[in-house]
Amino acid sequence: MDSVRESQMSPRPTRIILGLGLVTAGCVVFALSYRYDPSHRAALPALLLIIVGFSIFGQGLRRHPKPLATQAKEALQTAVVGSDPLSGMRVIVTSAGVRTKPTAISTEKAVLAVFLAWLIPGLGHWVIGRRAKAVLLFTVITVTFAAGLWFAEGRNMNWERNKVFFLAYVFSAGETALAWLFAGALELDRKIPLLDLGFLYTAVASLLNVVAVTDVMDSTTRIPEEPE
Amino acid sequence: MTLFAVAAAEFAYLPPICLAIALVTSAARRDDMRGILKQAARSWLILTVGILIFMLVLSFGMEWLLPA
Repeated sequence: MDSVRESQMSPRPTRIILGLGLVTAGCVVFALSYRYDPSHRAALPALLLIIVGFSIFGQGLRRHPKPLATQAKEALQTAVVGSDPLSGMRVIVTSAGVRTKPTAISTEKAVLAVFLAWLIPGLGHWVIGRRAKAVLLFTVITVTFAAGLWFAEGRNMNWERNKVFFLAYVFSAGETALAWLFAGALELDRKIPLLDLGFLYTAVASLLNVVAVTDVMDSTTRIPEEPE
Repeated sequence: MTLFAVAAAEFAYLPPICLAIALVTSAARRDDMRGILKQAARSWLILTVGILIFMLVLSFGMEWLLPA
């Protein structure tokens, strides 16, 4: 059994090389798609290759890597199903550490917590009783979001200006709605040197809220039913 | 020194955003503040250096693949 398990687990250097190879291949495909493919259809698979490559590379750095097939499946699921494009980097930087003990709450309260977390970063954690984490997440995400608004002088809140980034803002609904109310109608009447940086910071803050929302989901569990 | 100054200006936006990413991703799955901050510091370093290297490789690679 142990020898079968060991043979299914690839050694770490293989994963590291494979991961880097996939990232390189993804970069090459991405660059070529911009040069030779007018509709840039290959750009998305290239990005998925990069993210999967980073995930496998990250697994190679861990002490007890999972079987390669499981890892590739999880990496692909994370890249496709997970909402944040930095999911590959997230696999690298989160250690194999201990999961927090989930709080048992009712389904209604869990749904409410997730919804509130989507609206305002950290509010879901506050509702389920993780107050310190709630304050940390709210501070970090809001400051990053506000920094983006400041860099772009509010001009990054227009849907027409950059639809792709605006779609990312949706993941932090409350802050985006508030910012859009005040800054959505601002015209791009002059050159704003840090406009692109503003788009980036605000989009990353909104996508980080996805991590916060999924953490709320991970931190809750159903109340066990009483045995009859 | 000038090259360093230019590079620093070019990539100055990277450390703050990597810090935000490191803090939030480290906070996932952990409840103790000390553990979060410890992991965040480690992650921040890896992220900043990793993304910097990735960007340099990508820009040189694209320069080589798609010469002006």
